[in-house]
Amino acid sequence: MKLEHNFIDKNDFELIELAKQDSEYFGILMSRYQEKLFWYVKRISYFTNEDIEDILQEVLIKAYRNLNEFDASFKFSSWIYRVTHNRVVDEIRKRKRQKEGLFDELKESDVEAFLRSSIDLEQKTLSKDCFKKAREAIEKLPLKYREAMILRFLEEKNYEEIMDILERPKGSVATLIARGKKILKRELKQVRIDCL
Amino acid sequence: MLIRISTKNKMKNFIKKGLEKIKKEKIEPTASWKFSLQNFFWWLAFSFSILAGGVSISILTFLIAELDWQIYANLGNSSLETFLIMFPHFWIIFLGLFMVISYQNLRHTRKGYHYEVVLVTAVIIGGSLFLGAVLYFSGLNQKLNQIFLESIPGYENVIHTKEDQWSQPKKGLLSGEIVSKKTVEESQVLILKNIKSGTWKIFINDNTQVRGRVRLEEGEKIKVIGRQKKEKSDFEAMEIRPWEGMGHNRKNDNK
Repeated sequence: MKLEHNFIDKNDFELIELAKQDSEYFGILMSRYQEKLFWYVKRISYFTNEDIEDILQEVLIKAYRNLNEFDASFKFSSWIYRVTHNRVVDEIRKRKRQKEGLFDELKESDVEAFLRSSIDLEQKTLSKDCFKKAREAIEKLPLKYREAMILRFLEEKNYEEIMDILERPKGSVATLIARGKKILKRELKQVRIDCL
Repeated sequence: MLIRISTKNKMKNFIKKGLEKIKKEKIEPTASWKFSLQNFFWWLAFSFSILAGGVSISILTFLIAELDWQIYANLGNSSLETFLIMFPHFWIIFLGLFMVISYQNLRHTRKGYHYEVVLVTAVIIGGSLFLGAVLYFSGLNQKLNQIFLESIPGYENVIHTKEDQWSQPKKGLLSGEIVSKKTVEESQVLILKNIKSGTWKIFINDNTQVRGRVRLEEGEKIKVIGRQKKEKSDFEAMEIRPWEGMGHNRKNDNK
């Protein structure tokens, strides 16, 4: 089947309908989210780039297989984030069972964004030591809180979208974010990050 | 910049590889009716678990209402002892289990996660209570309990029924159906068939209190408070009550 050339004008829903006939359209649709999904996985899992590539390939296949499960009352982005979230959580559990560590670290800008969400960060830049301590505190956060905070403050999703991605009620999402911020504040206090 | 380009290339790679695999393995989107069926199944399971919760409530209410709560207190048991003996633990555990299952079933439906825990819990408890009340007032709870007694092996061992309560001759509680009546040494004796411990001779004397609607006729079901005599199947009656109903304080009504 020959691809239509004006697919750039097509919205996600139109591409989904086309993808049901030809998987190439699904590739086009996924290319719209590939970068966002990559950083999302990176932020919640700290997996290496190679691992993320494998995970996203599996996500693509699983999402294509379950394309008819997609409900048009959702945003496609929320749905594909959900599929990705589920796959990453499975992988993290698997690695925890096999006692494999997590590999990478949060980007500097992510650490700053996290801190800004939880405390008043007046200084523009952080000292090296302060940055290291803050990153450790963030990485210590349990995944459920960290992920909710990542979706809210780094991925800039609204509560409705986070609810659809994590498959939790709105109240529960709000609680996760509030508790995450509280824990992070406490952790930062404990490690005496007075450089902030 | 170089890292960024390399990452982008890798990402394009995953799409390319993924699409190749889809084509090679001829993967196709699963039919939408399968997802609809799956969703329907979770809603059905949710409804069923609410119904099971209703059945649990109706039967445990029946079991609680059927028992004579005063009798253990009269025998000198503490409130805690009475509670532990008589409370239908089995059905309480079942009720809790079905409530958890109901919640899980609802969470598996397509938009089940939208509902707040408090709301879901309220709906589950409310639904179970409503169905329990319907079954209770329609009298179906008694029939259901009977069906379980007849069809589930060991069920009678996990519940404390009125029959259990009134089949404890050592504690002075006995019940059964009057098989025959006779007179032995100027005492009236009833031959009583107890559902758990077989046939008993019930000795009635002038001090025996016979309550309410008790007629002491063959085929009648009665409850007897008294004490077991030396002879293992002999029982001296101090009070006789009708099997059904609360009975009245009419002394020696049937004498």
